[in-house]
Amino acid sequence: MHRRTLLQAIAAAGGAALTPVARAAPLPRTLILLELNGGNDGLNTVVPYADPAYSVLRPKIAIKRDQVLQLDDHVGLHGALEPLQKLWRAGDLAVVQGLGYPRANRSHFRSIEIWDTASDADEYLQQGWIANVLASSGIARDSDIDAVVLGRAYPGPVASADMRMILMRSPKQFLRRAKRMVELQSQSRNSALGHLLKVRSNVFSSAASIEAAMQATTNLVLDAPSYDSNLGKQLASAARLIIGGANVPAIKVSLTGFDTHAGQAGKHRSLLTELGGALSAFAQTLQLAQRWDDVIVATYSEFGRRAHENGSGGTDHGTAAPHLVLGGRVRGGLYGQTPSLRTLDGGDLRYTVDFRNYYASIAREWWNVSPAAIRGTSAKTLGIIS
Amino acid sequence: MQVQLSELILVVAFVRRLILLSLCFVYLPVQALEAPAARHLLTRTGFEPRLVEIEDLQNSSHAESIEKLLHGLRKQPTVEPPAWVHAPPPNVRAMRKAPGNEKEAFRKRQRALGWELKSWWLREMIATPSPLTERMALFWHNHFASSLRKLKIPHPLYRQNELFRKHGTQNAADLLRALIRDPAVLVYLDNHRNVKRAPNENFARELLELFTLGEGHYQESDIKAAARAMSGYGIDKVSGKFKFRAKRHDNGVKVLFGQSGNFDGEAVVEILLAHPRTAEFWSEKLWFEFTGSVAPRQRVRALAQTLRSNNYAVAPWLRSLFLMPEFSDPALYGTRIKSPTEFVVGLARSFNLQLPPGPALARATRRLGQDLFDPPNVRGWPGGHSWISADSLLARQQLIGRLTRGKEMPMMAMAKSKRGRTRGASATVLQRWLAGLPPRLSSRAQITSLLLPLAPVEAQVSTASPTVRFVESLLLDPVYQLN
Repeated sequence: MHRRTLLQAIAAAGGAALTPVARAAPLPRTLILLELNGGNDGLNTVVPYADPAYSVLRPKIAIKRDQVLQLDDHVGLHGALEPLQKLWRAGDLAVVQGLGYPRANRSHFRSIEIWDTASDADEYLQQGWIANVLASSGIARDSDIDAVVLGRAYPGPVASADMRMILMRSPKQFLRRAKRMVELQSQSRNSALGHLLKVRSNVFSSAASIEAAMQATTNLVLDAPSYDSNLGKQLASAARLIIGGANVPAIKVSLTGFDTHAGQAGKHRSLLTELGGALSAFAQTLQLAQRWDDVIVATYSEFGRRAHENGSGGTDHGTAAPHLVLGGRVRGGLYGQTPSLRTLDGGDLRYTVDFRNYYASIAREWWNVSPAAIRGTSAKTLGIIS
Repeated sequence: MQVQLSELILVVAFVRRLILLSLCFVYLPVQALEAPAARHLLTRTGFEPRLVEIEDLQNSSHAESIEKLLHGLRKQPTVEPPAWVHAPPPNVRAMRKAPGNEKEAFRKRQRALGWELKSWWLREMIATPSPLTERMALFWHNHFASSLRKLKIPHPLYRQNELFRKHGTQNAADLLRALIRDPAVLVYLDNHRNVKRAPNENFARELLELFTLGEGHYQESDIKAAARAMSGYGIDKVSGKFKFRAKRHDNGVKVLFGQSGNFDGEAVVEILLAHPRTAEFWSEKLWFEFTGSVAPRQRVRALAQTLRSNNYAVAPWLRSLFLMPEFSDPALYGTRIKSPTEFVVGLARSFNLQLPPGPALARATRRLGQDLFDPPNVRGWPGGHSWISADSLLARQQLIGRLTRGKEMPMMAMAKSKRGRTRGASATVLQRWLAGLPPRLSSRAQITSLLLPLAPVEAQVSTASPTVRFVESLLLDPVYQLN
């Protein structure tokens, strides 16, 4: 049985990773999936401030007109997303409106499953949509890791039996432990044991890349106060992995707490403040390192929330919602159609863009992967990324 | 005599069933359990066993051992809970209006009490003469999930935990009936806000989707009807106890699964218990809990049939599961991943660890991905392979490393000597454990089969006689994570 310690492996890999890379080949691209866990209230995020129906639907919790950052004559962003204004003006922020799907499910678990696997409402698929994209293309060919999951330890879109995926609280903590493991190469006898051995094997080969990336970024300045929040810490880790050259095609981060059934106003503002601050700091860091063109951040959530507010100053599970895409190569602007506030489906907003087209646009425009990898989508993509 | 075809079919079916039953009986192992089989039964139905537990079962057959385990099921814990659980719970709503520093002090205290509660339950799991009782409590806690994070105070969760023993080891229907009046569940799922003029569907949805039927076996209209039926079921703001407010209850006719009536919460529960899917859903989960695998359809049907035909009594249900061939098949030893709680409690029990005061153990299970009384969401912990990720596997290894280097448990101070000075760990946990083994069980082979369900996958450290390093290598083997 072949054994070596991780330290030996890192020593072997480290030399190569630390020498400056000749910029002949284009740098690898990373997609950051930002899960807004709980069901983000899209209607109070991208606010149809000019529509009188809005404040009729939400007498208590509608965002006041003077608190809205106008994007155009009809919609604007919740004021707490103020740090994103700079990105909007620079054309680095795309707002994709009305994302949803037919026969929408309003269960957290079922709906996030649908979003994670890009399935239809009545299909039950196992693999995450990113796992499918990576598996069917050669994108991860030159990487040691397919995906890193920070924040909520739930793989979602990258879930797959075969992905080389690391769930970690932070690269530092991961490495501290990985250094003690001994690499094993044996066959599994049962699926539980097989899973254990596979995880070990992943740990071993990924750790070398991550160690090298951390060593290359020890002097990276990450002192913006927005990096202190939960999401901030995750994006700071992502920044180090990207800038340090770990070459991870997909990184998942998450912000939880969006299930605002009661007392939404304060909670939602606080979450959006964290969101805007962390994204803005992250963009700045990557711009300084001249890597902003190599990164896309795309948000998603299990559903939006009902058009009417409820009796507890909050909102219940709904359907369609907008999402944000940020990055140096993003074609900023508004996409899709603002869902109508008059024609509702049993109190829910009608979607205008199938979320599978959102995914297909990312896959095609970011990685040049055929949209056929994502089931049931049209060939035409949204044109979010140039 | 003319025999109807239908009668003939019935007779044949009956005779066939009789033959199958007697065949099962014949194939039931009647001989005494070998050590690996005893070990397997104990780890699957409880936690890592001490040597005496294995030896105790070796005088019995498989069927007798199961009866012993079922007979030992307890309705109450053995370890005294913290005194504060008996006091009336604090009024969370009143605290919302308190000034900032008072609120912060309150939150801090409740967090500390939460740790005390988690620590208490872990001590119970370690001390109990009936690990199966605690495994059932864990099973129900995972199924009827509520969390401290949302409730803000631990008191209702203690009361709920009592129900998981009082009813959870006796009758599953009684458990469900008790839970629709359980303050922890009602508040966790916002049912205290579910009132006639503004129904809140959260509780009703989870009751159908996660607690009884599972996705796809009900319509949205059933949820709406169940929500209306549950309106007015809340808690008293001062005492924290269950309170039904008739004024807030929707007294109208509801249509639930095609049945019409002025249903209240209790009626909804009886309708759900009469629904064949409930016993099946619970049986699927029970199978997964104890085998780590997905149950074949016929097994689910058989278990559900046993549960229903015994009016939801738990002991026959468990007996039925434990007597199924898959449960004791040696080819399926070591195919289930231990949960963080089983891993930590198993170490504590089997190595007779000196437990530190404070929440070190509870922090350890949280670190590994299972924060007791705080499941990640109402679906509970998914379990199975999901317990093992790069992060959690490394954390498990680290815990073992600390144990074998004499640090007993993370964040624990070294044991103080009687003179009150801190001593170095000259006699480590593993040295003590090795020294305590009887000579006939001290060979490397014996120790290996005592600690592991399967042969280790790593090449073993070669020493003449077993040393601490040898034992450590077994614990660090991936196979140690399995049962």
